[in-house]
Amino acid sequence: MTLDQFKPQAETPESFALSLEIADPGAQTPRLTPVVIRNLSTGGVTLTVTNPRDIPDWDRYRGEACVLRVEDPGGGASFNIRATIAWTRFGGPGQPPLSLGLQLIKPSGEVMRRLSNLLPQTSQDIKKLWERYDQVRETPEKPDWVHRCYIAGLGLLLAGLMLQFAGSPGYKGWGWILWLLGSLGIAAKIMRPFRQKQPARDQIGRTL
Amino acid sequence: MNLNRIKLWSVGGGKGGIGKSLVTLGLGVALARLGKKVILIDGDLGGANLHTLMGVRYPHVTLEHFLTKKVSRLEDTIIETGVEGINLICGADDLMGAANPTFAQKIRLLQQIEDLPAQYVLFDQGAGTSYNTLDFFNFSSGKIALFTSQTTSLQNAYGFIKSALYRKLSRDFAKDDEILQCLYQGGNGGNGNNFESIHDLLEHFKTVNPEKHARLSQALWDFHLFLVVNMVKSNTDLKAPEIIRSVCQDFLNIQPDLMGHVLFDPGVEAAINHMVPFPLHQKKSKAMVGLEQIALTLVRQSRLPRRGIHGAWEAQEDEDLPMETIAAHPSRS
Repeated sequence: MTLDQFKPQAETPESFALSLEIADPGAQTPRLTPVVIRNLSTGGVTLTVTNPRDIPDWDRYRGEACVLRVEDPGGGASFNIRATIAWTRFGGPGQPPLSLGLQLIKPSGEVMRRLSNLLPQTSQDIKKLWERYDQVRETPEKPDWVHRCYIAGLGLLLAGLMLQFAGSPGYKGWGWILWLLGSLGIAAKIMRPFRQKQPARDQIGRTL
Repeated sequence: MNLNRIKLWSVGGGKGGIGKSLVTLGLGVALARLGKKVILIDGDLGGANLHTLMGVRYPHVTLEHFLTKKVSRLEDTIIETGVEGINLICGADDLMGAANPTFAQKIRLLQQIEDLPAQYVLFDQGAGTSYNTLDFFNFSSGKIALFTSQTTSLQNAYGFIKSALYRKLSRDFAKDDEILQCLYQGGNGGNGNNFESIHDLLEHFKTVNPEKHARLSQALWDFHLFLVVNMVKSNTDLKAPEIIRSVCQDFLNIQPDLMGHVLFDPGVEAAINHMVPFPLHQKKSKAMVGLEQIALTLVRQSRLPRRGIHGAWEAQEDEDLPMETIAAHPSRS
């Protein structure tokens, strides 16, 4: 089987032209080669190079910076994604002639969504599942005030104990106050799991 | 007073190791603490271990005895446990014949579950999406899909829900080739339609065949599902049910309700190693706090009427329920 006989299973929609621009340390201009998107992972993308013979010795590009160019001939917005080439792999008979693994540099959820739209044969519901998953991961977590109280509480408790046992008599009162405040901070952390409403017997009775 | 209570609740989730057996056990203990009589059934017919978690080393009778007709009544396979209010029916353990029950055996089992002497029967489903697991899950009036926030669990949970729903629809519409073709081939049967979701399918039948649209809508409505997220370690983990919910709404046209969450509890592992039911191993278990909440919701949901597909209240027992209970039901808001 010759290399030319390979037909990718999941073709990128023809209306989109995907190309990879690779920085070549030995050349003045970067190399540009057409690619087809094959798969996505968290922060990564697998591509098939359409004409791998255009560029000799692919292995030397591992770790090199590159740009994935997505152009929409239909007039839609084109976009570029910065990445590094994580791995290169030549396929055997019946496999893609050359696959590339790119690690995208800080891809936003929107970039991942648009790339996933280039995988036309992927199940739409699974696509949506991972999109929602990325959205949830992107949403910054609210500051954990209880944990902060716990850390502050530990500090206050230690300071309070030091003042109480090693400080001058005039500061012993402050030691008590710090000790007490610190204990409250620690107690908040311990009590958090039990802060959820406990089932009450009278409430049960009403539902039966 | 004849109350149409949901007695049988199944806990499924597709993936192994997400805590289905532990949640079933904990939920059973929580219900028992509320004064309920509970029977736990280990539905894993290939690798049963709920009895081990309950501290039972040598079960003298299991589901296999019932399925192979060594005992005639399911009730005769009940084992007493050390936890007051909880009895157990052990699963089979890799024995030929039990792991692959025939359809007749499944029907016999499911029919007798309803007659068990308990207020609540909790059915711990095995991992995977075998027809056995899906059929047992679908037969249960109360369905709980359990998952963790791990990516693999999220994907498997959605796959499990989708498989269960498709299994139900393929049984409900077994004689309707048109619907089956649309379901499994996306409508590509030469008619030019291409359905990416059940919503598309509904829209298609809404115009083409309103009678089928109504039947399909009813079948989807009957597939009422509750979500429970297990081993919660952070606030981000609490968002996991929203991911499942939104995909279910968009692609399966079902709206699962969130039943609650269970915090990650490192003490559970020690309890397993000591072969002590984990709620009894610690005085205050972090996991049990969430499970007690879920048990309350389960009791409430077992009794509350559901708003019907056309908005009317379905259960004729509305009048028997205290008004404040109905008024407090989330579906009223």
